[in-house]
Amino acid sequence: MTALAEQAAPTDDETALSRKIRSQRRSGRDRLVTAAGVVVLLAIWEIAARQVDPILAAPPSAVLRALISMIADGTLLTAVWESAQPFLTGYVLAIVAGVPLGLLIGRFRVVEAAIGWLVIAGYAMPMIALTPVFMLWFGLGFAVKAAMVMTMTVFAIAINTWNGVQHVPRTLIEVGTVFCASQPRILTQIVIPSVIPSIMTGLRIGIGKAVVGIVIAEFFTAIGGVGGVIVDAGHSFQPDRMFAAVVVLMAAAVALTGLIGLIERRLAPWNRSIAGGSR
Amino acid sequence: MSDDLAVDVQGVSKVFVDDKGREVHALRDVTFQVRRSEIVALTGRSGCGKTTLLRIIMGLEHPTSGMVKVDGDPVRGCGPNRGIVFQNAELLPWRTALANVEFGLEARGLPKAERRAAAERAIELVGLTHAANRRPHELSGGMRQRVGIARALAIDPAVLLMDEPFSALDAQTREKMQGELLEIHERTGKTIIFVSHDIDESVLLADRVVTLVPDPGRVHGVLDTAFGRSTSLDERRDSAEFAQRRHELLQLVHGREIRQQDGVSA
Repeated sequence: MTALAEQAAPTDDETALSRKIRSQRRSGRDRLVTAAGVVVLLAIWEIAARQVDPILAAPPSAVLRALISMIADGTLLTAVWESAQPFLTGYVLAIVAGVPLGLLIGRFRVVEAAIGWLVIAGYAMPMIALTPVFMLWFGLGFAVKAAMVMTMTVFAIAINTWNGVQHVPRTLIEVGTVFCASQPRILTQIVIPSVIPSIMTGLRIGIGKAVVGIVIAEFFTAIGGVGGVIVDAGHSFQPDRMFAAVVVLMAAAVALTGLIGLIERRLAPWNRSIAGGSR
Repeated sequence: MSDDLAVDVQGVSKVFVDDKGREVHALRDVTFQVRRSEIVALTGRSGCGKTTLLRIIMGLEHPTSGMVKVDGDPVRGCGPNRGIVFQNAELLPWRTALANVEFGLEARGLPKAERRAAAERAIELVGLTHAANRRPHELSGGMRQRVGIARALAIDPAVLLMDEPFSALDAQTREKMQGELLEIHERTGKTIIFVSHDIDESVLLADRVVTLVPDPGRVHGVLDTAFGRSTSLDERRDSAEFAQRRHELLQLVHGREIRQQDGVSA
């Protein structure tokens, strides 16, 4: 027994090590391929854009120059700040409303029967259709932007939370039951921790929805924010400035999604290690 | 005499109503007694109602008729006189091993220091003191189930109820855990009822095996399988009794009558 185990040990280590190195190499090569892909795309874009009228398209070099000048003259910072406030307000409101809504629908059948359909309909519906009426209700300023962000986001968060509650393992609830835990204790100690990963998924999907919401609101109202910059640049035939603003939006969405992922790993480390822990 | 009884199952029947409104008799008139410090296995083919029966003793299901008494008290839902071990341990993944063991104590409102002390004793009993601060995903299957056993023992129940506790483990780990269960039994003297579909396991571990047959689930026979205390698993496995009892149990499980002999009663 022992001899066998000792014999087996080094080979085991070896395979584990080589697997690790191989995976390291692979990820290193992948990164190289990704970088090459970016360079090639930028090169094609640069060459193609130089062939057309500068009021129709801008090459990456021009976009970069525009970006730098927009940062230098403060336009960009002001725009980002103007967008960020209603964005965060709407997003936080969506969490505050969406998470409890999802918990209630998932936990109580009556609530599900009463308003479950509304959440599904809200999630499926293109919210852009509501923009004109939102402008009537909320005007052209901060409120309409926050409202658009919230309505775009809240259903994604609610539906994912709801889904999470429904997938809390029944046996874990039974653990609470057989050890005589009260209903509030089962809710706080078992249901909510189980649902955290689903809530985080909702928040991550919600970021993308919220970015769409803020841009739509700013397009329609055409007042301020990064969306406003895009519209203005388009109307004044400055594609370089337009693309610069689009790049900023893209970077912000990616960064925020990454941030949510980071928080998720902090809050629910067991979830990642279960998902990625198979050997 | 009744002082000696840990669990008294009296004429328990369970009728479910299926999707089409038909009545399904999961259990019919099941009666048996478990003495204090005894290890009893419930076994039988799938669909014989052994898990339903255990869930009724746990308090997770209510019998349609009949009743179960534990320590003389009728079972109505959960209770601190029973410690439950689940098939797949069912630990809370966000808690450390020690915090998982504390779970059952928290529900009873014990002060924190007392809780911690009881949990540490239980985790020592299953030999996991060194891993007390690890989370379930950092533990092997066998270690997870040991935490599950510690969680059940921590509330100091009269009876340990185990639902196929080792069926999810690999063969080697299972064997090791079976040995450890006997050790724990020897040290704590707890009454243990476990469900198993494994004939060998039932014969090796239990003092008596209650066999059930399906349609409707009912007791088919009770086989005396007690080895002397502190007979090791290997000694048990190598004994002539083991082969004989194993054969008898197989006959029982497959629904055939066996000749009555000493130690067999129904």
